[in-house]
Amino acid sequence: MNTAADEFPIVLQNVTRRFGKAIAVNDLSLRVARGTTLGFIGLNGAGKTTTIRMLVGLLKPHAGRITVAGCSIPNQRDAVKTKLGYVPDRPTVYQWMRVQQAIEFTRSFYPNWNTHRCNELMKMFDLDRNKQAKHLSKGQAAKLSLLLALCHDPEVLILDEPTSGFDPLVREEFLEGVLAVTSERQQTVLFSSHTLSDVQRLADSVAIMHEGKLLLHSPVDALLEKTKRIRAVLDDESASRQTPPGMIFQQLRGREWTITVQNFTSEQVEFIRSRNHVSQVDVLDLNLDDVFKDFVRGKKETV
Amino acid sequence: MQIEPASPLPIFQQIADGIRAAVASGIYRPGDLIPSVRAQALALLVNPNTVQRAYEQLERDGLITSKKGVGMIVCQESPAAAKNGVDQTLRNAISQAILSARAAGISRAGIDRIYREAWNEAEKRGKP
Amino acid sequence: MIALMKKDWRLFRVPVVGGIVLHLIPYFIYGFITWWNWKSLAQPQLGPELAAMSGPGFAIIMIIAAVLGGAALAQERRDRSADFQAMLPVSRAQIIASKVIVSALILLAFAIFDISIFLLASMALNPSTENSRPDRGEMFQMFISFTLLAYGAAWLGSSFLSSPAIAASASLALLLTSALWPNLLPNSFPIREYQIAEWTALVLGVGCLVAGTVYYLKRIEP
Repeated sequence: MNTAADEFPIVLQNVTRRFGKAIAVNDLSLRVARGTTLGFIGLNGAGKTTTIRMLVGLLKPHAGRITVAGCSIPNQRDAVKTKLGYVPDRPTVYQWMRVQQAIEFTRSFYPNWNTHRCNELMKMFDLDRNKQAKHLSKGQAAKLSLLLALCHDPEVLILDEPTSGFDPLVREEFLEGVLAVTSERQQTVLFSSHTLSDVQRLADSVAIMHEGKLLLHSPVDALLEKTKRIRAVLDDESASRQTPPGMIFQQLRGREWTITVQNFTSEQVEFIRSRNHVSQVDVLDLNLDDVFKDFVRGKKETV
Repeated sequence: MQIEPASPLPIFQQIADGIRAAVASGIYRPGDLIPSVRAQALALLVNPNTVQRAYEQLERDGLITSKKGVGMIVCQESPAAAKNGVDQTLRNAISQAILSARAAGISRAGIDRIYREAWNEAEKRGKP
Repeated sequence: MIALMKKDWRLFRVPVVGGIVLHLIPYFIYGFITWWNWKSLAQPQLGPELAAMSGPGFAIIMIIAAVLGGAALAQERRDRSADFQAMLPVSRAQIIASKVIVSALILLAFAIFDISIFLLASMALNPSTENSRPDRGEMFQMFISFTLLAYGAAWLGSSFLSSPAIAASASLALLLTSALWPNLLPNSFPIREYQIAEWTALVLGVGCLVAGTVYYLKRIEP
């Protein structure tokens, strides 16, 4: 059991959470390998924040098991706190505390506080030590939350939509802060984001949530390699179309027919060519944004 | 070097191509030290594992090598290897242009003409 | 732990300042009236008057107890700093201890002030000869019981509510109910009304305190 926990610092098994009649997270099973970064993506309301809150022990799951850094959550929550860093979607620091106060307050609870790291991040983030938290701008407040989450060298870092609503410069500074720390140590990171370009650059693997369910979990490069969009021009747009196996989503614009497939093989191109009256078939590569949207649109259509 | 996450080309490939291009054009000379994995990751804002993958490809292709206690340096034979190597980023850009041309119904001869005109244009702009 | 207590002291600053102001108002009123009456014929008796002024003080302590109890856990929930605290490596027990200790010290400070004034000023007060009026010891017991109820009931509310005001108000309502419900009993009831009220307050107070503590220790959400 110990080796499994070492390999996967974040494990969710059949986790379910309801709010009244609505199921926010539905039988979710997911694990993140040590030293890797998982990008957690999905539409608003897909269940990302609920999942994250259960992961850090702020919300009780109605079913399933959660293990973080080898400790069962929420029962062994207290044991994992020194190894866990959490940046919520909205700042939670005491608003009346000044930056310096907040740092000293937080430091007093961690025996493993890294002062060198703290100074390094303070310089990088350029925060005013005397400013009260309530007078910090959105970006500055988030940088403070990040600093307080990173300075005790956590093994596991969890970020909930860390850069949403940031101006481009602050976003970069924030990500630099995250990378500066995670690139030095074997840290396991899980972050949810709507900025899919960030996920594409920073994540080793990605998990897509949709309506409480896990749609897919895959390394980013493999996903982008295997998911392709086939574009074909139909001779007759009103004719019935035969779609290839492995289709995620299709769209018809006039005579232009695009089919997004997972696990692309040339056989799918052959299928389309032979079973439909088409001319000019092309295969297009997709970025993460395209892949995500097509997966989600495809799911919405089947419902 | 700029990373285009919107581009469907894998980021590690873009990084490798960026360094390859820098070597080919003389920005990096043989014996030069290239940024460490960590420094490069920070500069480009990408996952260090991705940079690692790019460096591994360049090492395999004989463009860079690891020097003990120093870091990754450009090999002696690099410039030639870089120039002859397949630049995937460039290839991808051309493929995208070809796809757009096909979608617009432009023929092969048509895009050849456009290419020649664009090349002349670029040369003219670069002249003093 | 010290850091937690310093933080909680800052958190309770408003009830403390409000409490001090409310506390001193009766004394200022008394001082004003005394100054006003100084010129008139009636010579006021300093001792009993001052002792009587500390009466409202004790009542105000009960209100402050309710406010502190209500603010204890609910205030941070409202500010969202409860989430921040929940992520720190401190146990629920430590969080509870810090809030209760700081609240107790604040209430103790107020109580010492009022009791001192009462004792000093009531030297001239004659002990009551009527049976129905409780003596000093009994009054002190009543004060303890009701303050405990004020804090305990508000504490219970604070453990699951997000509004300190609702918790405090509910507590004060319960306080009034416990004080007044013995009046419903028949006059022939053997035990004195004030004693019933006192025991009600004590049992409810301790019960609420324990219930709130146990609930908060078991609860997952901060």
